[in-house]
Amino acid sequence: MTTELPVPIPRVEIHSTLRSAREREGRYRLVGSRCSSCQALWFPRRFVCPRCHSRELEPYQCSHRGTVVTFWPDTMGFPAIGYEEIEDRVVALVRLDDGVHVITEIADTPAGRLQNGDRVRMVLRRQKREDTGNWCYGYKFEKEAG
Amino acid sequence: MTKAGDKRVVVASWAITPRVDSQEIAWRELLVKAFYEALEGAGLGPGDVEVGSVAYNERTVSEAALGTHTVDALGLRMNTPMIPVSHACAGGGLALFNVWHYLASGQFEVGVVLTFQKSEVYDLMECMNPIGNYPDYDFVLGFTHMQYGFLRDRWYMEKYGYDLEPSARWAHQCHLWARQNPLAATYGKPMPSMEELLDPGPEGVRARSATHRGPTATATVLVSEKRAGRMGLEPLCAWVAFAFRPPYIGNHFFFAGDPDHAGHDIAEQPAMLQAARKAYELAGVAPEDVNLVQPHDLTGFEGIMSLEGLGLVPFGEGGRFVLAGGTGPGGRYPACTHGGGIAFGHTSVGSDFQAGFIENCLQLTGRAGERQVPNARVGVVQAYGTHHSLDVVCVLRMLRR
Repeated sequence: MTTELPVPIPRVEIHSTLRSAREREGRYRLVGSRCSSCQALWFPRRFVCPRCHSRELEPYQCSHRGTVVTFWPDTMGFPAIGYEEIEDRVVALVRLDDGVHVITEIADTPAGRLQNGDRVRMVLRRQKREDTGNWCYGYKFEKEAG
Repeated sequence: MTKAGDKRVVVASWAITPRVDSQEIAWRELLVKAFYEALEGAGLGPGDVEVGSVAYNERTVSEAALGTHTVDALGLRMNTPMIPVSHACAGGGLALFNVWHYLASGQFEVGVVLTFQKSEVYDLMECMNPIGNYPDYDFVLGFTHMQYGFLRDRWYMEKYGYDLEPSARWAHQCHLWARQNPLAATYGKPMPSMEELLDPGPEGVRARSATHRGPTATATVLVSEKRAGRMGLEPLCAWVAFAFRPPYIGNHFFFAGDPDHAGHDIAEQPAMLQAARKAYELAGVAPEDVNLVQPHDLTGFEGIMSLEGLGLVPFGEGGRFVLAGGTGPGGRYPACTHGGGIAFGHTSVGSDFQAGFIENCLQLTGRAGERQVPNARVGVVQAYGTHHSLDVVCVLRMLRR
């Protein structure tokens, strides 16, 4: 019998339903901010423009279409919490048509059928369960036909 | 090499604990071990310490107000200012920044920089990786630190036309250095083959990444130049600077909020460039004066990108520099001579910055043993926190008496 204490079971981050709900416009519709003064676009939303320091920002729905900059088939064996069961999960950096960049999952497209420069569009998909058991929803992107 | 700035702070001593896997050891015990070993090295007692800063990861311990816990645990006078810093792997650099400024202010003569990584709440892997940089999006949508790193590596390769070989060569060189460093996690272990390091599959990805983890603590005693003169210390001086980059990874593309960032994408590190320029200026050196460098390499390509971010190699040329032997013995910039994150080990705030700092101290004082870089007088150490949301750069320089 060992005298060592056991390795602890890691605690999973508690991310509140309230906090998730506050950012639903960003996750559901890619709503960020546009500076009313210098017109700069920002995602995620901001409360001051870092370019001109105006605090007059308005909600701005980013383009739902874009282009794959690069992507990574998540094969390392350390999947994100709540995403363990998705096989061949592909994570990508996408440049939206208005110039905003996002990190996103590419849904329903194995890495072998994806290449840089592919056109993609936003889709609203079920994501993971919160600790309350509720399902989270949010954006993914899928490859455009043709 | 130009004259260093008027404000000088001297490194008096340092200590780093070996990695311990036992759950019997508490963070206080690790910190005490490092602190008293460093004090002994400086010939000082706890009553000599006037100020300090402790770097930790707030996800790994339950205590709030860590300054008071640290002063209490170390047996310091209760009026000793002790500033806690939590900024992921780069936290040690920020603690150094704090103590440096306290000493340079002239108000204090002896300070201590403390770091520890001992996971009492989350384990080392879980404490940062799955949360992502921007939890409102990244945690909920399932994006992790590892994905950021591999996306960045892949884009670097595609943008600048590389295959896996530079990353594999970087890792191989780190392993070679680590086989000469008894403190390295891989010391005494078999060398990985180039075939293993070039494997494009998950095993190869792991082999080219910092997968050797474990708890550590470090302590570094700094003193004012005046006090160093009284103590008869060698004039080993440190200067440190840092800069931020937005935490959301999408904003690592042409970020318009800072003109220095606007022209860069995720394959380049403008915050590191800003920090490096400042650190060089403070130390009175230029990149060409640097003799060796300890960049933060959680993957081979991250080390390569850091050579570029530090202004030592032009953007996009780091891979070719490594393939030409530029980071090995006799190279222009010997890099990660302690073994780096890949072969020395990755302990986040525990020692990712401090291990490189201590390695430079050993090198600049001629105490690096088999891996000694001849005639080294200027060494650079760099670490990032939360995927270059913060880059800290320190120049260590052995001044002439």
